[in-house]
Amino acid sequence: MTETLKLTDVSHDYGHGDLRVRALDGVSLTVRAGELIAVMGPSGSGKSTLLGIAGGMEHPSIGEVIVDGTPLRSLNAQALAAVRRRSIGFIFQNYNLIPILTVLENVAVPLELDDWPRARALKTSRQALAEFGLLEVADSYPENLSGGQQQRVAIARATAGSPRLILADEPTGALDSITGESIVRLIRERVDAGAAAIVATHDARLAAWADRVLTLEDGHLYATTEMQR
Amino acid sequence: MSVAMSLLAMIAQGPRYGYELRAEFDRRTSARWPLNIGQVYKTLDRLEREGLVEKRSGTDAEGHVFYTVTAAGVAASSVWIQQADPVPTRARDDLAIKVAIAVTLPGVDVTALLRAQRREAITRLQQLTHESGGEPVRTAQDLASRIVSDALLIEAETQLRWLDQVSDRVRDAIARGISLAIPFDTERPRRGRPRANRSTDPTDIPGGKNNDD
Ligand SMILES: Nc1ncnc2c1ncn2[C@@H]1O[C@H](COP(=O)(O)OP(=O)(O)O)[C@@H](O)[C@H]1O
Ligand SMILES: [Mg+2]
Repeated sequence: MTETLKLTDVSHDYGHGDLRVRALDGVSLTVRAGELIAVMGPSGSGKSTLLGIAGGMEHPSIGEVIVDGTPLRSLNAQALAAVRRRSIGFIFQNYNLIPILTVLENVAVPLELDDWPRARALKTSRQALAEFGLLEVADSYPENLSGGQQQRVAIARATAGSPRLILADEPTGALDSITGESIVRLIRERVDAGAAAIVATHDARLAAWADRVLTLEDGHLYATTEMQR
Repeated sequence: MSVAMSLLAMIAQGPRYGYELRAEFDRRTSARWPLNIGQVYKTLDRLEREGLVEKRSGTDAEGHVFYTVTAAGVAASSVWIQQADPVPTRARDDLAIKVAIAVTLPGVDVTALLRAQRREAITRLQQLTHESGGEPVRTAQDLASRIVSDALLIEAETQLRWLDQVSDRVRDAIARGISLAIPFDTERPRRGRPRANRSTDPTDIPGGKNNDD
């Protein structure tokens, strides 16, 4: 199986001197296509930092991050931004939709940023919305949608360009458990279709959908369960 | 109890025979606790002895013996189906005991125990999630199945929450400089119950019969 993401001995510090906080400490992790990883751990244990580093939002203080065979540190800012747009789909707890754009326009944003012609971007976005059962809200604005609908739009946006790596940070944190389950099922489907995903979550019910459950404790990552599926 | 009352509640809606009752019970509980036919007939005998059902004389064309509900059976069934069950209180929680002992004994690696237990609980959750399939509810059958699997899922989930809470409490206690180990009492208790001033047992009155000699 393809190694979509590989972290090797990654450590990450915030701040300097006495204020230095080691958010990740010697983390190594390989995620392959078709694999869904859940990362659990108390708040402040480093889950968001791990996702940010895996997604090239920032470079780690120490260690190497390889996405789809490319070491992120070898890329200049422009090339790194392109990898983020093309290969990685981010999903956040608070959906991060743009309020002044319609649902359809929101989904199209990453494609347009990636220089897709507008007509093609909109067509692909419409298809993505249809797959998620969201066509009837395509022309609505995010504020008129329920939380569950907004998160489905966010997943449509994150996956419309068929990214090979999906990174979701507490994607169901603001949703009731039944809606949360439908959200994790959408991520599971993308993974079964060949993506790799890491989902940071407090919710053990969602973690149970993963192929592997990892736990972070004070920046240390350890395996909790392996391959139950 | 719940098996007998479930069968009674189904008979209260119309005459039924043994194999039918077994199939209906299993269908509505996703065969999570499957009944064998011997159990069904033993239960029907009991309901009959208690005057809650009656066996019809004769059989249908296929030879099925039908059971019908009595007036007392209707009353008992409707009480059962409407009344709250007591929330289960475990006489002892073996895991809570183990963790409390592990935390307070010197030199025990509680972190390792908590990790191992988390692994157990998550593995259980993964199995249950896998079994239940997590498909959205489309039919009454799906609904019945999710009702049963949710009960089991939430039990495993509750254990995980508790383990998180234990980790948080241990971490917090360490941060506040509390020494976790409870030292062994140098003044060893003599025969009988612990000394009254340590006891929360109201019958353990100073000077009473349970006191140290
Ligand atoms: N931008 C930042 N500046 C300084 N410290 C940070 C920053 N982001 C996170 N941290 C610290 O790093 C540690 C890990 O945080 P985070 O990755 O957000 O954990 P989690 O997502 O598991 O709650 C925490 O101690 C947090 O306070
Ligand atoms: Mg976080």
